Amino acid sequence: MIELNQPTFWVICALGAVLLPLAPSSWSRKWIWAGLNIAFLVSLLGLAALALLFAGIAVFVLLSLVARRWHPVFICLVAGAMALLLFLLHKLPSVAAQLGISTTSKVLTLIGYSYVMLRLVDAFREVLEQRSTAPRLADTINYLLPFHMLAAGPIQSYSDFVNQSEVSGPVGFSRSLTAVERITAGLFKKFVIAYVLQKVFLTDFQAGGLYRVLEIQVFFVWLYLDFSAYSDIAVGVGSLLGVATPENFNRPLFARNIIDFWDRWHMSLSLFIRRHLFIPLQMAFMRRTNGQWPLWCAVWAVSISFILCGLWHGLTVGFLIWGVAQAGGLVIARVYGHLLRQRLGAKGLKVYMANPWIRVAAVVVTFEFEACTLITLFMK
Amino acid sequence: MTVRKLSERFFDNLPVGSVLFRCLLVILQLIAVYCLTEKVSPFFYQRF
Repeated sequence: MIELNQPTFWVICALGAVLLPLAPSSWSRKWIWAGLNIAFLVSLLGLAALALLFAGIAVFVLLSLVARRWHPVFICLVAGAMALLLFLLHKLPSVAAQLGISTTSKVLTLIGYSYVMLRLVDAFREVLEQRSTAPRLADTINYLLPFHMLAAGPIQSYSDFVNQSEVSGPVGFSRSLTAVERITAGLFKKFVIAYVLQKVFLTDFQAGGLYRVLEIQVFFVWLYLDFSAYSDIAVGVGSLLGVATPENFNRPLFARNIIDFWDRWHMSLSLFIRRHLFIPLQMAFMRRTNGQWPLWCAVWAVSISFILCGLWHGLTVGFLIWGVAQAGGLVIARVYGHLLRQRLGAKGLKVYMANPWIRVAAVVVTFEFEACTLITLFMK
Repeated sequence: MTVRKLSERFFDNLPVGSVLFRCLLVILQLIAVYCLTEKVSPFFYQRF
């Protein structure tokens, strides 16, 4: 794991804050940024970082070939198969151990491969469909392995990266202070608030009875604090160094339905699911049914997308059930919204949405749904 | 140097008081983080 209470992360961060503003050109800033990312990997993995760098170079070559239309579909299929294989090794360490390649599995865990894989998929699809150009070598490293986004995302889209790939020049005092505040708030959230909540309230669901009900609520809040803290730190570090880093959370505990929740929680993953799973699936179903059943097409697309989302989090029955539950919640929210619109009309729906009591009830129901579905992850 | 000039020159025109307050909050949060991660009691002087 990338430990934020160890000095390496912060030394690299400080080096970046000093060196990046000194760089004379955009080109040198990109390479300094790549150098920092490589230095972090070396500090984390030692010699194994070399293998990762070769993999990065291979990705760079493959993306260049795809951009030049040299058997692009074949290359994408091979790269996809390789990425999937590594994903399986990452998620099934026992299989990797049986195959005698547990080191590979450990390296994949250390770099947060689940996130790297999604960035890979995004880049290959963007280049294959000619929406973006292939990255240069420094850009490939900076996009796939940014040290501040390795621990827990966010998952930056390749198009966003291309549009904002310039590492900006020196940041002013005001922006630096805001960035430091964001980093500190993240650290405080993780190491103080979340830590205290964990120590005082959480028992790994060992306690039974009524206490379990309380623990379910606290666990959800703890998860939000811990996870969003990583994102706060990543966004803060990115802002301090002038590297664009997407936001990942927008007060998800106050979401009024499951659709709203996924627009606010782990937003970069939600956007990825929408771009690469939900929209293509929905379009395919619509074409197949000649657009006759739009609601059902959406329902199927949501269901498949979130079952796969559950399995991306972990290849266990618990995560599968969690994915199915999320899909169920999203389907219910969508169908309920559809029925409300039919029954109340546009004006009535507006009044309904503005009612503060309904809003409070909706927020509580959404919170409870998300908190309760998390318990599936602890099922033995 | 007046407070206004200090603000213009070093703090991107942010009010000096606001900058100091924000820095203080940052430092307090970092102290709390340090104490909990290093298992150091902030009241260590009580032993004396």
